[in-house]
Amino acid sequence: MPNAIELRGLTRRYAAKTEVVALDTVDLDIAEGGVIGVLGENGAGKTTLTKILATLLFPSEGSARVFGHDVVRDARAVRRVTTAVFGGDRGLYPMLSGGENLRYFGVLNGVHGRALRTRMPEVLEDFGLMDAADRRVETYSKGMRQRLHLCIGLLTRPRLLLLDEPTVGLDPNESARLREVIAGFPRQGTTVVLTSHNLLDIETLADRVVMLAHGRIAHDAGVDDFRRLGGVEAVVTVTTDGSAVLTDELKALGAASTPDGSRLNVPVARWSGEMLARLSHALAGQRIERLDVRTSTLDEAFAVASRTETDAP
Amino acid sequence: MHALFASARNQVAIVLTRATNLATGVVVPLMLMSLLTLPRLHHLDPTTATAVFTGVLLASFWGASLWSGAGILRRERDMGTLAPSVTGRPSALTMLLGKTLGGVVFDIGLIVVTNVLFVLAAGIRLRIAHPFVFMLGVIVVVVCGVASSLMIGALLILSRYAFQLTTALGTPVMLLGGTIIPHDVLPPWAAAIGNVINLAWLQRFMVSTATTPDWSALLIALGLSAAYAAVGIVAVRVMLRWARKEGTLELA
Amino acid sequence: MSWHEILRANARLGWAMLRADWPPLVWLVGALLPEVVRMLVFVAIGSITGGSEGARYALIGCVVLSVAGTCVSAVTDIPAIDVALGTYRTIAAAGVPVFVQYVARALALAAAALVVSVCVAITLGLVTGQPAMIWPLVSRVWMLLPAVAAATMLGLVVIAPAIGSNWEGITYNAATALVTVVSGAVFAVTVPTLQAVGDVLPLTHAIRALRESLTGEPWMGEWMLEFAVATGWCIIGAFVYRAQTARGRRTGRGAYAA
Repeated sequence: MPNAIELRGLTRRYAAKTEVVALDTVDLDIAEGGVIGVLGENGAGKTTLTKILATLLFPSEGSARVFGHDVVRDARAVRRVTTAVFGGDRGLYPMLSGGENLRYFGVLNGVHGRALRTRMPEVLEDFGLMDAADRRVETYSKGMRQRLHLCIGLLTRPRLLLLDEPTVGLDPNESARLREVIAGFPRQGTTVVLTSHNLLDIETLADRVVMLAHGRIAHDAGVDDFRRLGGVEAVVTVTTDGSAVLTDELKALGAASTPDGSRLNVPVARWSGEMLARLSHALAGQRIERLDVRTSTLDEAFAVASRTETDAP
Repeated sequence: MHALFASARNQVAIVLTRATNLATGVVVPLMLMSLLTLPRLHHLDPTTATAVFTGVLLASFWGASLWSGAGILRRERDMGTLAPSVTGRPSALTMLLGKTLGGVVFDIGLIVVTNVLFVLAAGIRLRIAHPFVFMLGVIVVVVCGVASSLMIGALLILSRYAFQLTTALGTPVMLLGGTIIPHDVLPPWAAAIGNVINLAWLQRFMVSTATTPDWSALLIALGLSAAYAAVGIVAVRVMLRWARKEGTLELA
Repeated sequence: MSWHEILRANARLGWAMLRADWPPLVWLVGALLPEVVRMLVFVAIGSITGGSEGARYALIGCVVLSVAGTCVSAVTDIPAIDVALGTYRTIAAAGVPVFVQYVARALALAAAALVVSVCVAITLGLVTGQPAMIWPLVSRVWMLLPAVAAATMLGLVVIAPAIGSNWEGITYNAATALVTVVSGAVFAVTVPTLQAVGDVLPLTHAIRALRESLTGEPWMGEWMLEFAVATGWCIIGAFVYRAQTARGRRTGRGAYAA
């Protein structure tokens, strides 16, 4: 069974006054099934990678294969198994209605006839566009256009679904709804590659995180392991009656207290039975009113990972 | 086939929202019909009137295919819909052919209706001795129009001066194309240039339907159009390949 | 800024935009050549419908008609671009009526129209075997001044209500086509209705004046009538732009909204 995606020495350069290397000898294997989050700062190469996989762009060097089909030589075979959603204000016919856009792009995505007639109301309902389906897209808000892009992309059940910043322009409820829909795809056999600056998307959906920096893979890890890149898995916040004492034992754990002595923050590198025992021992004697445990976030991990890449020689 | 009809239908839906098509489909035919018939209304014989009818149809359609048909690719790129249109499951060529076909059928339909209404309003009599052959000619005009539009659209899309080049192409073909200006009015060298334009042969065929159909003219028109289509197909493939190489399909 | 400084600034902008949009080679291939060929088509039509006399008739008319492409069609870009770029509100707040500013901006196009006219006279005179007509026509190009003014006013007027809508393209196309048919440039208009329409549209009187001048008849009357037509369309234009701007301010919607 071929991998969903295989990249070998994948390189993409853009000719400009000074040449820009968007992807630099990237090697990557992504097995079928699951959701892979692709992170990176602006200009890291995420969208370039998505465009190459969507057969919109040729690599400059190296190769990219989707289920064994080369994106250059077997582009049509790749398109048969792949759907890409790029979103944004463009890529729709503003003078036509949402329904007309959906009908046309549905055919492009291989859905027509009865299948299209059945799926169209379902996706429109899923994304709250049923009432607006007969309105011209030029009257749609940014969020509505984004949702229409998603309707188009999710008409089919492709083997590979590429989502480029899918929650841009969506409000929190719409984003949550979209995540619910995407979460169902792997169960139906679709591999999802998701690029997003909204780390909640990655955190909620992805099993694996690939971080790009300057066109190269900087990190490739499971979500939990990526989260630990920040150095901590969690932070324990202890609220006292104002009499918190920063003991040597707590200092050894890396704890810090607020100036007024009301709170202690103890970072936890990795949870274990031993860690729990040490913490319990260190906090004995403190007048604890409340204890909160906050799992470290991908934002924190991303910030640390980005700084590491920036600071790297 | 689904893809061909879907893209044709999509293009018709688009042009229905654009009043500009009325310029090429109504205004220009009305203007040309007026200029060619009003000065001689009292002594216009049916055969000449039919030649004017078909000449205006072809000349107006040439303008329409330049501004409407050949502009399809450029407008799709400007809207950001070119990329998804040419990288979907159906082949890029099928989608582009379908869109061009939709635009061409709409334009020709509009011009025919305009011309018919004009001759009715002006009381002009036409002579169509072979109606079915005439209709075949109209269908061939559609086919040839798709070929021309595809070729020009593909060749123009990458030029920064597409608008200016389109303007530059329009009127010379109207002069030399043998449609509203018969070749016997032109100097021989100009008429010779006109003979590589499929419109000239189409007009020759359409005019001949008033008496004895000139099938060789039809065949030459089809042959030339096939050549245009071949150039167009190659140009589309080259254009798409180049765009994928340079990253200029302008996704978002 | 004083009113004449504003108008000078608009005139300079018009010239700069003409140079930017139409570099010399592009103007030659994309504007001048097509216009010359278009006029040749009309002269050929004149020849088809009226023989050699028809060709001569159309040649004279087309030297005047050639200004329509620039003054009626191209001039419509001036307000359309301001609306599209969002600069209309700045123009409207400048203290000089918008319409007057646009007329100043159109001066470059008007000059280009006269150049086209001269080129048409020379080229068509040679190509149609009427070289003797060239000098009499070229030496009378100054007579086109009121025609250029009237056509420019018409172009600015017809585009005003359509800016930002789907109807932009069809307005100036329809106006140019109408002028072509009813102006008497290509054939002598004898239908009373068409004559009446032509009498209030640009070019008709200028064409008659030119024909009369060429045959040694009194032409001043028709020439002044062309000025009158220009004045009429100028008044309409001033009113239309004032009304559109006021409506934009009042409703906050549409192409002219601030």
